[in-house]
Amino acid sequence: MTPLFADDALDEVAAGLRRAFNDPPAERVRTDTVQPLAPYVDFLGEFYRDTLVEYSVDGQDEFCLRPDLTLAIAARVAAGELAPGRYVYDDLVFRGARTASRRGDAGFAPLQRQVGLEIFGPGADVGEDAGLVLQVHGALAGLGLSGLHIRVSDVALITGVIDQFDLHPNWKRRLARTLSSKQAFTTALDAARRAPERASALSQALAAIPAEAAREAVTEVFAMSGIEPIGSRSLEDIADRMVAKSAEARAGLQARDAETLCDVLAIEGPFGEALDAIEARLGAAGKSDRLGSLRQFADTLEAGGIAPGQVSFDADLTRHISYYDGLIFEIFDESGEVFLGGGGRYDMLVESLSKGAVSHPALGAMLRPGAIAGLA
Amino acid sequence: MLSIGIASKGRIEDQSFAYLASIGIPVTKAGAGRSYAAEIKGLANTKVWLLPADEIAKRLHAGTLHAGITGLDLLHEHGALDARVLPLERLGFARADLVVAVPRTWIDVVDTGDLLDVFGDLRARLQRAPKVATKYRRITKSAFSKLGLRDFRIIADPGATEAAPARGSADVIVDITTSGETLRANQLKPLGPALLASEAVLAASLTAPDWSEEGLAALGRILDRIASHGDDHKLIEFSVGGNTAPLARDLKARFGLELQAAPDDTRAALFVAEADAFEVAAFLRGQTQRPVSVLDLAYRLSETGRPLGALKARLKD
Repeated sequence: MTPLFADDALDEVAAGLRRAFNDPPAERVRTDTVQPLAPYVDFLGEFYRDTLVEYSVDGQDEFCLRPDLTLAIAARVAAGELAPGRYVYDDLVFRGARTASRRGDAGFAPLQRQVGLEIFGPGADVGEDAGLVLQVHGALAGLGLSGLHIRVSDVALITGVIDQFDLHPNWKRRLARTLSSKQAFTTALDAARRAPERASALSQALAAIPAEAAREAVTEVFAMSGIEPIGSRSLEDIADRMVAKSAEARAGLQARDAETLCDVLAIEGPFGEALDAIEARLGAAGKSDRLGSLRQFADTLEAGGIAPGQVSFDADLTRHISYYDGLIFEIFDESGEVFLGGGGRYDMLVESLSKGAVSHPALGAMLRPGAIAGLA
Repeated sequence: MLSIGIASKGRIEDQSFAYLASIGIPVTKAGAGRSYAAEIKGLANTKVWLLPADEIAKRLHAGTLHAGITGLDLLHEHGALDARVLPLERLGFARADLVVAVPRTWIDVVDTGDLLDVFGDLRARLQRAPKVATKYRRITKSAFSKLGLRDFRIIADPGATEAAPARGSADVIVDITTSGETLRANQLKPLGPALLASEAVLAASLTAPDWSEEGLAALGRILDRIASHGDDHKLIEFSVGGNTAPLARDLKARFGLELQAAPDDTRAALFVAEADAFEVAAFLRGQTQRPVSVLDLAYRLSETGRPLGALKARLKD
């Protein structure tokens, strides 16, 4: 195995990246190599677990080797150990298995060195996102790399499209929530389309009476049957959802909206052209502020020295990444084949990890010195 | 040599022994009662191992057994079958369904679309992945992924899986059920169609490195016994004379049967399902005006041995 620290070329690349990320100054931060398992699986789900190197002590306490630096650092911010601010890291991540990735196996290494920048508490303006991309591009240019390819997508654009549909808010929430998994999204999309026919006789009956009366009716059914709730949902939760289901059945997804959404998710190509295509597909009714923000983002990149030809848009990118909730980017070498790193915005991450106790918007990027050194 | 595993513990054990005895393969334990070895009288080149059903499934995947009788659920749980294990015959016992079960009070949850939704609500409200208690980690992940359910966490509850929701250690379960009785007793209801309909199967390992002609022949004999078991066909013997074409046409039209008798042959035979045997025999007597015999079949060995042929083809790949 190639050494990841005692290697002069690699150390030189990593030091160059750390310097580039330290302007404006960022505090060097470290996290424990061994991490508790639960927060990772709880946050990212069972499928993420496949990629972890995990073990348990006495068959009880479960741990994993640090699988992701952003999550490890965000967990420290969520726990109040780190204040909002700029942080730079240069550390190892450990992977226990190859995962089905759009980048295939090429970039896989069980042990990977990553250098990155985390910004907790940035402004909401898209200019901040562009600033981060420019800083990453600058870091790579500083190491002599040119002609880089940047692929961009935006979760906020897609959720904005969903938001414009005449659709029950619950369906909107579900579609947005399942965006990062193609299969889950397809299931949610199908359920939203078939909303009226899926409605049970009981929820159809409830739909005919006012919501409060419907809730009372369901609660009364439970009281009469003497059923005691077990597990994590109370009878009120269930009654509320029965009532909500009856309302959702009347406001399902229109076939034309489902088509629009699928079309938008399939759009990829040079950045400006892709935005034009999305605007055209959404039509006059679909004017989106977010499209304006993305054009401003592209202008900022160009003004910062990134040629428009280097940037492409790929809506589908939103479908593979779990904690990003805004702009996402990936950066590749001149050939477009070698993945060098990526980043984006995850405004809700700290809030989720702290279970709502702390909230800091966040932006971050990671580069892989191994991949960069390999290009030399 | 054929090494074959037979379940020594759990719900499959007693039924495996009884089933094998019923098809003329009596298994006797070798030596003292705790021995793991056993033998089958009259079946040469065979070494029988008595193992837990789960262990048989593992060893078939690992290639340290040639064949074994175990649950289809366990075979799926220990890995993808395609490349490593070939189920040869479903044996019709130890039937059970692997199902998703949710608390009975969840009257708003009628299909997996609802489950996706409720999982999302639980995630938002409790700020954690919904928990699924199961001993079937692999099957659950694969089935849930196909249903679009990706945000959940599997809990390996050391106690009874069905009690996990009541104990508060899981939100839903994935478990095996035969009658649904245990689910009901634990205030649970099954959701949608079964993730897997399981039963005991005879399966062969595709990864075992040392398959031999003798081993395959021994397995072939077991497969022949299985194929002949439960064969409810009768043999009908009768005499024919002269032109058989009109009789052949009538048999085909009325019963879908093929009469293959050489022109100079005065005897003919048909294999007929037991339920149809009397009707066919009466018809033949009417047509031929001669005696017709209906005989019980002790064994009927098919000429090709389909499952064994499939195994040989896969082992060649």
